[in-house]
Amino acid sequence: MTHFTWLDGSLVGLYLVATMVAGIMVRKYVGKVEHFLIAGREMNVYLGIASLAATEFGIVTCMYTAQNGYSFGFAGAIPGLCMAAAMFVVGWTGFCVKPLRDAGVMTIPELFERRFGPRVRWAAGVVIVLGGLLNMGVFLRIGGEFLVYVSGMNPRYLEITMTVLLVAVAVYTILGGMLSVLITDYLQFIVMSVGLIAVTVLILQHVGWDALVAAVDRHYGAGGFNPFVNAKLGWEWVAFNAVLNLAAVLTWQTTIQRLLAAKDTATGRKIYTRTSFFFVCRFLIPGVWGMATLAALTPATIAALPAAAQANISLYGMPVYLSTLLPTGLMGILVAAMLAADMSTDSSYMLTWGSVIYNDILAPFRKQTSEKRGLLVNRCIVAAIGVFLLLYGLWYPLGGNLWDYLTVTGTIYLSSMAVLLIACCYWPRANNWGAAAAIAVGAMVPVAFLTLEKLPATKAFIQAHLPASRAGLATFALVALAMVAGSLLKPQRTMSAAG
Amino acid sequence: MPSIDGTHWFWWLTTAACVVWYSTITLYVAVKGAKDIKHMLRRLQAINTADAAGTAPEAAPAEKARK
Repeated sequence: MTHFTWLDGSLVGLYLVATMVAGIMVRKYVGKVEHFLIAGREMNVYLGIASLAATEFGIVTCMYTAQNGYSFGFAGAIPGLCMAAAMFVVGWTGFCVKPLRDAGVMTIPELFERRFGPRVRWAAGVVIVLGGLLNMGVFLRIGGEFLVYVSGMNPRYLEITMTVLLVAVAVYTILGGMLSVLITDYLQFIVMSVGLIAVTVLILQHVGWDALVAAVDRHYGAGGFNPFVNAKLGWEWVAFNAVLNLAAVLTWQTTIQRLLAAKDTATGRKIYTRTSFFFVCRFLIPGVWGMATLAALTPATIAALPAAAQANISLYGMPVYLSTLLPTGLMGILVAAMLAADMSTDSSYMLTWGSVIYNDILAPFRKQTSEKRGLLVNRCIVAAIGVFLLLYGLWYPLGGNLWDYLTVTGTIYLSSMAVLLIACCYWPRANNWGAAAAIAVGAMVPVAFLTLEKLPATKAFIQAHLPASRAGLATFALVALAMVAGSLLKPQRTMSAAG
Repeated sequence: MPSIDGTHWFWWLTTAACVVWYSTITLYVAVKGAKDIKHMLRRLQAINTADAAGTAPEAAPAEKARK
């Protein structure tokens, strides 16, 4: 029995109206494509922190990190620690991000063109958009399912609710671009953070630390605290998450767009170092919710759930648990917080992939266009991405672990783009042959994995011998090899030929 | 008193740090972020006005200091 009442609904409605008004009001400041895509590079540190944190935390994040907590205990929060460490080190040293921001580009493929040529830029753009949109494809349905379980909403209204939400987000993103995204991200960061902290404190009070630890110990033993001794995780999983999160910090377009929108390189690096610890919270706070679910949900409660929820209790258990725990008022704050989290993620993701489509994929077909026409094209692209999300996002049937799906689809581009970026910045011998080979291998391996995982003939073999983390590590290794081999195979121009 | 034996102390400290750090940074960013927004919108307004008038916008304080 959920505690969602008219008071909670009013809180949510108030929040939605305030966000829409703020997002739409700043459209008048958008005068150029640069304003639309990267806020005219006028973003300062604290707005950057709010925007980065809000963007990188959606309902889907809350669901998969809680799922990790439910399925693996504290050990499931290791990806957050890896990402925080990677973000701090990258921001502190300026590894790759300094040359990237100094280059004054709007997207990563734009930097690649300077080193590897226009074809690599185009191919990189395609891979980024493909990986990014597949990754984002599950956001809507998972977000809707969270709302259904937590608020007791009739599942028949899931599609229409998420459609209305996406349209609202699309309206202010289309009108105000990055400026609307930043302003709404700021509001969403505050609402989201208040909700996350309040719910976590309540959960810790309700369940208690000792009961939480005891539940993890009872279900997973030492493996619930130490991933290296967990039979389902192990060193491969930790290594893959370390590599994947470093790649994400370096090349995940929504993260990089904050760096590129920062007013200068030093500001961009400060945003990285000062937001880094948020990525521990991002995994551990919902992870605690997942572990509390493990401690609190009884077999009788689980048996009363719909069959779909019972079949994937690690994913849906957390919202079910929250629906019974949170009192009126706090329930409204939680739903508003989760909507805030989802809206900030959706708006940033739509704008980000749109910026790559406009800036890189359409670059060869784009003639000299006016700022006005450029803005119109960008707005149409964001709208088209919204339509794609509605079609793909609301019917894709997700099976298995959500984090695995996200990492595999993310690897489609993270592996090749990270290798390309490192080579572009620090390996003088890197060239377009190596870049092309890396992009091809980076896209083919994860797509092959996703296909083989679904085919009846190969499904059992893949599950037994090729876990997602091993496939991911293999992808990174093969991409690096392809970059080196391709670059070395290309004949170097002799002095006479060059002259 | 919470159990913090073995590896649990690490997770107890990390969880406590998350709650404390996140609460603090939320307040801090709420205040400082609002100032960043005001400054950003003022700068963009100046740029748009200057573009419309065909002149260069006035440099931001940080840029002035560098000069």
